[in-house]
Amino acid sequence: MRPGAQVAIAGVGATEQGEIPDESPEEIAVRAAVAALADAGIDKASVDGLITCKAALSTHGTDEGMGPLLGINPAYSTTLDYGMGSFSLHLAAMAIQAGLATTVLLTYGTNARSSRTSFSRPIGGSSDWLRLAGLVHVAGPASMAVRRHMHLYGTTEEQLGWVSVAQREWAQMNPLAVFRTPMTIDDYLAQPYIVAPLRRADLTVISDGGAAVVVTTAERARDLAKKPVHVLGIAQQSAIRNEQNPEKLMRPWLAEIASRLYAAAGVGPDQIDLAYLQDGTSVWVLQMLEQYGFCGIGEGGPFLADGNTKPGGRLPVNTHGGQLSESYTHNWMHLYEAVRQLRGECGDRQVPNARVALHAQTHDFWKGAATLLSTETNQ
Amino acid sequence: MTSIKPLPDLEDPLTRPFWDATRNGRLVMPECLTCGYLQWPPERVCPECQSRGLRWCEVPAAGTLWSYAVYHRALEPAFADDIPYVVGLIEVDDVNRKMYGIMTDDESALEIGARVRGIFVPATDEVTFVRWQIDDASPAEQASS
Repeated sequence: MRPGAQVAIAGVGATEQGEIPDESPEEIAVRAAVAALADAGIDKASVDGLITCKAALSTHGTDEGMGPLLGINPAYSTTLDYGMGSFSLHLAAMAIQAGLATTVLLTYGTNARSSRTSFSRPIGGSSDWLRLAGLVHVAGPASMAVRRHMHLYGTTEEQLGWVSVAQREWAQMNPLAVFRTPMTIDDYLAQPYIVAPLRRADLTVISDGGAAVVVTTAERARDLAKKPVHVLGIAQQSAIRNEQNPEKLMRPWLAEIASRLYAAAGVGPDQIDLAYLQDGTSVWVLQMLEQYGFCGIGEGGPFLADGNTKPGGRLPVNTHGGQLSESYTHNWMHLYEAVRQLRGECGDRQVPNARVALHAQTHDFWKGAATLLSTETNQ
Repeated sequence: MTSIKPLPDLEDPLTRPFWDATRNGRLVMPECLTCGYLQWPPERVCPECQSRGLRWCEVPAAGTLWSYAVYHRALEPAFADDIPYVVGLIEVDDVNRKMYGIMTDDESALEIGARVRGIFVPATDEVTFVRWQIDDASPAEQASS
């Protein structure tokens, strides 16, 4: 079975990214939604499904909050705490395939920067034990994971630095990106540590912004304004035993997502032209390059240093700059960029002949999800 | 002056036995009374057999350094005076469980795979923390883990 084969993305929308001091997360999400509907060329009256995603670490962004602002009464609506693009998209595919809705609008908005949201909290459950040990902020466990990688495989700080340096090269060609100033590998290495061996450039931007996506049946998408971007396959792995999972920080269970995804879509890593790897930290990119099979386990460092992920490389990664350079949108802007690259709309940073994109993420040390997207179908 | 560190909730019956043990210089973990599964961190129900009921067992206050994080920024303000401070992830001997804890050594002394031992450091009359330090007397596992 190919669970996602009949579903397509018909439109995407985004707001500016950075500081939006006078708008609530809901208002930001509404602007993105209006843009996505216009992109698809459909009226809000034909939206019969709404899946909203809460702004990170907040109660903002529920479907009950969004309904009155969008002025819609869809047949189906719900809210995910941590939709992160992937989970919202997968739920939309399920809702469409189950017959609950035909055209589903996905929304996200955050004002994490303007509201001065604090991220200095323990990450990944068992929070009392982490808090007592001073292990706060995602940089702590991420630094442990990458130091372990360095110990096992000889990965260097410079090799890791190529995650952020490559993404900054992409971001320089993206008008939406918050950080666009050039950054060389020497600039990277000159940055002070935040939690060694991680530096500022290894950690996500915190910004305001919104994104929205219109998902519908492949059949309906063919009649809409833009070239449909088909969902070739979806896969997830929860890993919610958390601390009980051996080697938790290395996230080896990501490989289970990869194998299910590639089996579902009938596509392997060699056929993937673009990778959108959610990058709350640079370490996630290093781990996902390996676990999704773009290089062997332990080979991520040399793969990055060889320039594979930067402009002109064999596997362009996060061609908008990702969370390290573009914005803090928990993988939503990764999805926005993936769709626009596949439709050939990315101007200076357009990757020629890009046909298949991987969009993958995890919620810290659990709950991973991945999607394969293409303008072509696999049927 | 050292900032006041976060303290555990001693009113929590689930974890109180842990703090009673550290005050007496012992490191303990709970074992399921029904199936014997050793829990770390402790949960209110056994993750293996879903039974309730625990027995706290002493485990070695010794292990191997799996990895560590060196905080150069006071992301937790209570640790501001300690910057740079190191949090280790310790594989505790004999039990195949990992535990986070502050390392007392300088970063320069640390190496993944190094032998470490727990030391019991009173913070208040009631709370004693386990800190970890390199155990020079015990040879490191070479390229072990």
